[in-house]
Amino acid sequence: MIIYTLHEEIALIRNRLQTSERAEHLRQRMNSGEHWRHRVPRPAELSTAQMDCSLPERKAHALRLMCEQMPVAIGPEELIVGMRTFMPPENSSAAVWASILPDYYRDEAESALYTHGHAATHNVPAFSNVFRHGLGGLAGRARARPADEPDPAKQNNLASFAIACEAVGALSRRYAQAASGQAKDTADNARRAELEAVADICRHIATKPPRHLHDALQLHWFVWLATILEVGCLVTSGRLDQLLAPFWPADPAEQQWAHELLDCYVIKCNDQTDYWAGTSLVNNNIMLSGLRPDGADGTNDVTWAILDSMARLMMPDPQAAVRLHKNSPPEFIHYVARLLRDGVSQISVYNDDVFVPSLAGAGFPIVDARDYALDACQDVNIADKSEFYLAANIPLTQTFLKALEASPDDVDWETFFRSYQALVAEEIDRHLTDYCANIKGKPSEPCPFLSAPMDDCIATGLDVANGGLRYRDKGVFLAEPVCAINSLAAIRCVVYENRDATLAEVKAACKANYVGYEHLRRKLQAAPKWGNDDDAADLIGKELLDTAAREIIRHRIDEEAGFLAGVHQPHHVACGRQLPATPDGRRDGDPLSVTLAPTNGTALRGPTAVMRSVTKLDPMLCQWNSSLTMTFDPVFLAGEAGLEKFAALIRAYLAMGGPQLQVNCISADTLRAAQRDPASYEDLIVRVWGYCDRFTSLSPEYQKELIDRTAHAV
Amino acid sequence: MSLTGRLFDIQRFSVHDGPGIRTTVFFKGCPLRCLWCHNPEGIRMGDELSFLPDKCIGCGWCFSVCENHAHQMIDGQHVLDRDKCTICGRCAEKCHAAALEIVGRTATVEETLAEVLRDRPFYETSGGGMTLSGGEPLMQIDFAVALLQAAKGEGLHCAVETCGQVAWKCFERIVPYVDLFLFDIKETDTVRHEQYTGAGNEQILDNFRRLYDTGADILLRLPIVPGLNDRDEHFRAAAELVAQLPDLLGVEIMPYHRLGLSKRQRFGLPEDDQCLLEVDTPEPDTVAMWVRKLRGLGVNVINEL
Repeated sequence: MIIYTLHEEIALIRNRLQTSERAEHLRQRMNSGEHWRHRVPRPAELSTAQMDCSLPERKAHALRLMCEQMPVAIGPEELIVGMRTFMPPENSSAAVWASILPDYYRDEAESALYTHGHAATHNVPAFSNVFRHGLGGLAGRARARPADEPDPAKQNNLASFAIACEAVGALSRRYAQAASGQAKDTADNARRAELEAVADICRHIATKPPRHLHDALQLHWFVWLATILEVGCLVTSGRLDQLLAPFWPADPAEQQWAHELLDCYVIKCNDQTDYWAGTSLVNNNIMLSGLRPDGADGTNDVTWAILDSMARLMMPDPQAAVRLHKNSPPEFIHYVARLLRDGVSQISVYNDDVFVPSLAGAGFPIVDARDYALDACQDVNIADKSEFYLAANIPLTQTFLKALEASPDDVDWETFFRSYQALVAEEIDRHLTDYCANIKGKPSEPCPFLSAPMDDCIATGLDVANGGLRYRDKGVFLAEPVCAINSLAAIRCVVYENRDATLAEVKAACKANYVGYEHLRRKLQAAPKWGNDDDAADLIGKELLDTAAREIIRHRIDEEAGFLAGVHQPHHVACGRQLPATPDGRRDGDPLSVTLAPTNGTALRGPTAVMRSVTKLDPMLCQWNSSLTMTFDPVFLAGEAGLEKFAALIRAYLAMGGPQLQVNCISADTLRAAQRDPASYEDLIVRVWGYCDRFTSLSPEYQKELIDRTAHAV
Repeated sequence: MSLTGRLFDIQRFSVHDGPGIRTTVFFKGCPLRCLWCHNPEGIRMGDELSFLPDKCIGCGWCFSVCENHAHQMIDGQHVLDRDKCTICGRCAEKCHAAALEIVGRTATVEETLAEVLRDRPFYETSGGGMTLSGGEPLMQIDFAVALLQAAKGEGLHCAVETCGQVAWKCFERIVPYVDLFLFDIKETDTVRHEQYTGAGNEQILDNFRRLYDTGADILLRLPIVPGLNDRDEHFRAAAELVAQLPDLLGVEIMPYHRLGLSKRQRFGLPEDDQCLLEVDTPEPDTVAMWVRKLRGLGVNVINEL
């Protein structure tokens, strides 16, 4: 068997469909950052704080100022236009994830009346309604409503929705003007015609629904961009293939152009990738395929085309979460497996046969459960109607350490485990009670542009963060799960079964960061571990996570809205840095694992065993959030025969009820080579957790963790 | 009492031992002593003691329990004197650093099958199943037959890797339960065969032909080791053999790799043939050349290039 180098594999992918010269140029320009020169600091003096209107309106006006004043720039050969050119004002300490809207709070006192941070949560704009009504249509509906709306607060919201939609329309018109202007100055006839078309498109979509694919892509991009301006980061793209399907040309003669437009869009998604590189700010995660609301499979030409674009262009953004179910077209599953095997780690897999039933079980109508989309990195949402992120995160390992500290040295296993579970239940209760109190106590800051297109915000006159969504259910996630499971399993084995150490010794060893306790650390490390299809660890995990999930679900926000259960561990290296030594043998500051992935170096029985462990959890309790990150050495999956097996592995995992899967198919040697020679590995994109990044953009400690992951690849 | 077998590993997600995703059961004991063996821990029936000195954390447990004083500290290094070692296993019992490990265990048919059945969902989607390998699985013919019978009872696809150096009766007994044979032929020249493996190839070739005549599905495997059997005459002889067997499923070239060398050290097995220390894993281009050569002689070589 010939095993290709990574570059040869990428070359093979690139040759599948022809990438146009234009797309190749755009790609190179985007990678080399030619668009950065248009960026300027947002003038510090911009402000709407003194305007004589309500807060929501002032915030919408702040967006308007951005849209009216942010420099517009159209790069050579661009067909999809729009750059984020306002950067934090000079002397600003705004973090890269923060929105840089001009000030809209009158003063500190007013600002203190609102809960902030909504803008930094995960958001899926309601693209379908923008497509349905157009920005002008939405503004019109919002303006028409106050006629029958007696509540002044709601009137203010509605006014803010209209202002925001009109603001984005204004941005579009400015791009129309810029395109027109550039057209006049362009000698090349073909390019002039393109710019005139772009101008026409931007004029049209400033107010109206899209007529064709180019309109749709451009409008989608402007909505995404404007939402970023409003909330700062973590804006995803919804079920893009479903949104674009009506616009995909049926005529094969037009499809080449359609692919080219899609390439331009995919490249354009990298507009701020450099700005967020190495920070985990998931950019434009697209949800693809999966069940439609009517129960049929949603794979369409656009699904294939988007994946093909991504695989050919191999840029860090966008990512794609592919929804699969037992009736997904087999050739599609095979294609997704091929891309994953070939290193397109931007793709992750979601199991409709887990999420749809569990969302329906949570009480959502089946048509909505079938319409789930990715919220940001790993968590799902029902677009246009909900925002599940986030009520609380329950740190299972930190809680475990508290339970360990509090337990008497002579406690028996059963009592120890039950008291830990009781502490987890207390944590859940406290967090969720606090959440309910907080949302009653203080309103969240409004988000006019995010709210305007949502299904119910105009109808209710309420903002997205303050009751305007049809579903106000909120997700909770159980964090740090694997370290807790492994710590419990280690204690049961070493202290209670083998009687090889006392609980007091384990506590002392952890406190000492295992200095002087190396032999005990090895014993604890050698104890049963999650990810080996070993019931000794897995059933502890099941008992812990399933019981905690049920505890979450038992709580309710009110009669209409409840809490959803999930598991999540992002920022696993940074979070690990904050955690002291744990009884699974982990030292102070060592990384945690990503969500349900086994701790690096502890999965000793291969990938089937890892999958068996994960699928022991009750899938009906995975309601909005889960992931399994795995690493494969490409040698094992080489050739067509290897690909067949990989596809079969994925299909079996889905059939067993595995909720989600994301992979890196890469060897440690390749990563080390990339460290030594970053310039030659610009194309190397790795899955960190719910997001991907250029390997060379990652911090040294995340690079090291990824190498550790791959060094223990199966 | 339940039938037991001597095994040294049960490996899940095996992707090179037959079609689909498989679990490979590695039997201890082998009648041959191939110079290039990459599972030397499978040659003998008894337990092996694996010693990886780099993992030693110096806890002293093994020193304290070894009645034969086989563990010694020499110049600050933990050294194992294999001559004194009786492979009793006491030192490995509590070596949590995994520096010392006993490899080899006795398992019942039920235990073994239970382990194999865990991955049934993966067999179903991939057309995989169970493979018996080793060592030489047919050396423990009663256990092998019982395990295969039980596996067929569960509807599993069963493959057997064999070196062929066993009595024909063994093949006769298992043929009804085997879906695919992976049959090794190491050398077509019997003198060289004895030099490289410790036995001539007459019985092996005889068994191969007789197995073919039963109509069993067979994939012929040719381990090719640079400098030893990568000779034109061997390729030609293999091609001639195969030409007489049109219903053979195919031929697979198994390129040499060096994994066996470090294992010999690890298990304290004799590294008696110095020339193999200088043989490198062949480059992909070399393997491709072998494949093309054999295909040029009319052989259906299934290796993917």
